[in-house]
Amino acid sequence: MLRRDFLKISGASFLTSLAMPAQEVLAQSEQIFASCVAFPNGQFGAVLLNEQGKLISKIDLPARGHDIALSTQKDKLIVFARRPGTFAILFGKNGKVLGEISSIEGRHFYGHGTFSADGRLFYATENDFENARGVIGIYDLTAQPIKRVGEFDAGGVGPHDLRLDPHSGHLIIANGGIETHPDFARAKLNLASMRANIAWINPSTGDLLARYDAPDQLQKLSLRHMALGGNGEVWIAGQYQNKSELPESLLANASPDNGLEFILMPEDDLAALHNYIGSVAASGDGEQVAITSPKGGSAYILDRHGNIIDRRKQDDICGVDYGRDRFQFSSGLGAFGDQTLDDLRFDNHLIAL
Amino acid sequence: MMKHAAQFAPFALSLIMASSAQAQDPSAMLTDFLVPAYQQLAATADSQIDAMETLCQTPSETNLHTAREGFADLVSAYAYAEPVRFGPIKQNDRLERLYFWPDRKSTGLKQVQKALVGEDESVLSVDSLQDKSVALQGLNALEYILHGALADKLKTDANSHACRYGETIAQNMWAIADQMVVDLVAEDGLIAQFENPQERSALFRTEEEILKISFETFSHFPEIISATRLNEWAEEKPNLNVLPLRRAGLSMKLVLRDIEGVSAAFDAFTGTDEHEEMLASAFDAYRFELDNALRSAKELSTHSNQEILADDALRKKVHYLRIVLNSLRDIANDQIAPELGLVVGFSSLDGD
Repeated sequence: MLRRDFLKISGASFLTSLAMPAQEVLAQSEQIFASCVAFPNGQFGAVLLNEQGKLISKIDLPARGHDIALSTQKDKLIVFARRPGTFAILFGKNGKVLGEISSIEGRHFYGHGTFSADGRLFYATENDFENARGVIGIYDLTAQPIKRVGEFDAGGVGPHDLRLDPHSGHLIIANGGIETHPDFARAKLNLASMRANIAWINPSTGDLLARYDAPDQLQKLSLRHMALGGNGEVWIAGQYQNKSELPESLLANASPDNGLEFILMPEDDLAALHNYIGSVAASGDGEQVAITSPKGGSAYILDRHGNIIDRRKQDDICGVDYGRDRFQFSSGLGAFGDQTLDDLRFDNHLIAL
Repeated sequence: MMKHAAQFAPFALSLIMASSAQAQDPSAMLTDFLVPAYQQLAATADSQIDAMETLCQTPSETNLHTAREGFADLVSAYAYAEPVRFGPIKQNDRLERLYFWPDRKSTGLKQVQKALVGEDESVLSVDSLQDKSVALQGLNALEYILHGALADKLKTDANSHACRYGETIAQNMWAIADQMVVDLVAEDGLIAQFENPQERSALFRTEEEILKISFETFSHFPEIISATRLNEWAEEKPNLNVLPLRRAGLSMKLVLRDIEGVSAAFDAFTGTDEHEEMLASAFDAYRFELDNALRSAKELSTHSNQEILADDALRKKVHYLRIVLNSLRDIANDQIAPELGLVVGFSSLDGD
């Protein structure tokens, strides 16, 4: 989002709600980003910052966060606890907390969610861990306090990322396929039998509209993260759970009509991802997609056909989103674009506002 | 087939980012620890095959007792080897085939019971057993056969289906352990890959990545012990029926041998050379906590789960052990990794 759009949507009161240094930063900004972070004192938070890494606002989090979702109206954000966390916080762009959500008993969040088209509801991926069942929790953001008003089946085990397709209005869910239970921390309980899938669900009814499983040769590929291109492209990024071999692919195009079409990368480049894509982002025009691997210390930009346009090496690179006219990357070691920030360590996901 | 550890010349790692760090020899962890550990597991499984064969042919209380003692040895050998969780152990679900745990919904138990009640013939050959659920193939299945509700029949019923199934499990475990050794020492095996990392390897491509994947044993596995072997003890009222290997009374023995495995692997990893001061200090801190964990686990392993449950002091000891195991993870990540020059990033350390 450009600064002028940011200010227009946020309203005049937004500017005055910021402290003077932040107002000055905003005045110099071309693009705003948001990410979960760790601070030097070991505390966790979520920050809004400009393309130069200058802080605009922040909120403190009780534990490590994961992804941040921006409302369709672009006026509010929700930050989620990292799995198996149980909190989510609704906040404004000035860092003001607008509401808090705790997962209900027997559930925890997976770290991702999305707003409804009208911004009144929020959908969150959740683990019904006693039944090893993925669910989508539905939250009414207009209620005070925020109220959980329903749920539906996610269509698989271990739902992770989900997006609202702006064209069809359907939810797209990346069911990672991995069973976990908070009694066993982050241990993966079903690696021998896991199977990921991508599901399309009607958010009005909860009806499963389409579902495509990972193929047999990629039985251990956890399909976890997702990016929507401007022309309706759905990019799916995976994490392969067998460290002893290279998978056929870690990246796919998905559609409810054609299923999963996996992108075959050159073997050297595939190897450089270390069987793990941490984040995926698509350009606004749908022509490019970027993927990052913190484990491999590598990132790639590909065209929509899967041809590699650019490669980069950077330790712990993970966060990525498309900014004003290019992809912006962040790392767990404080790298942000071309700079390194001493006072922030960026978590897995970065979003451009 | 077997190559002796001494045949592998140590190679010096030149870490790009660790000019001050003492060079490590990660291949020593394979040659000096992992290969002998899986050789021992193969030998123990071989003995268990004999014990089961004797029990099947000549059922008696004595022979059942011998088979149960062999099972305890098998658990001990497995637990000692399992801390190293990369390389060939991750192929073909070998780790889960040897021991399917956690089994939160008793999936394994239900499948084993079904195979026993239905006298499923397909579990009586290694080839067909390997095509079945991993929960049917290893320690948890053999434990139920030797210590479960129907185990007493093993004292009287000659060549019973259950006994032959148990013998097949021992054969399966031997086959996996033996193949592990082969896959470690083969010309293109893991040790050779450590000595000559390839750019296209899925596992590692550089000496630094070899060091990192080896190091992760000391960062990850203590947490795995705490999260999957001792987690139930964090409950106010622990349910003893969900503890690992509780029928055989080996829950804490498993933990002790796991920690002994970490200890032996750590010795092989650190070597005997002198280290630069800060690295030596980090290793010392880890060793200090490791010894604390060993002492606690040793004492706990002399008590049954029921005794621990009934004794507040012992329960506090379990709680202490969990704290120490998490401390080991923190020392590895916060002290050892930086001194080794490893990038233990926010996202790469424990991604999602």
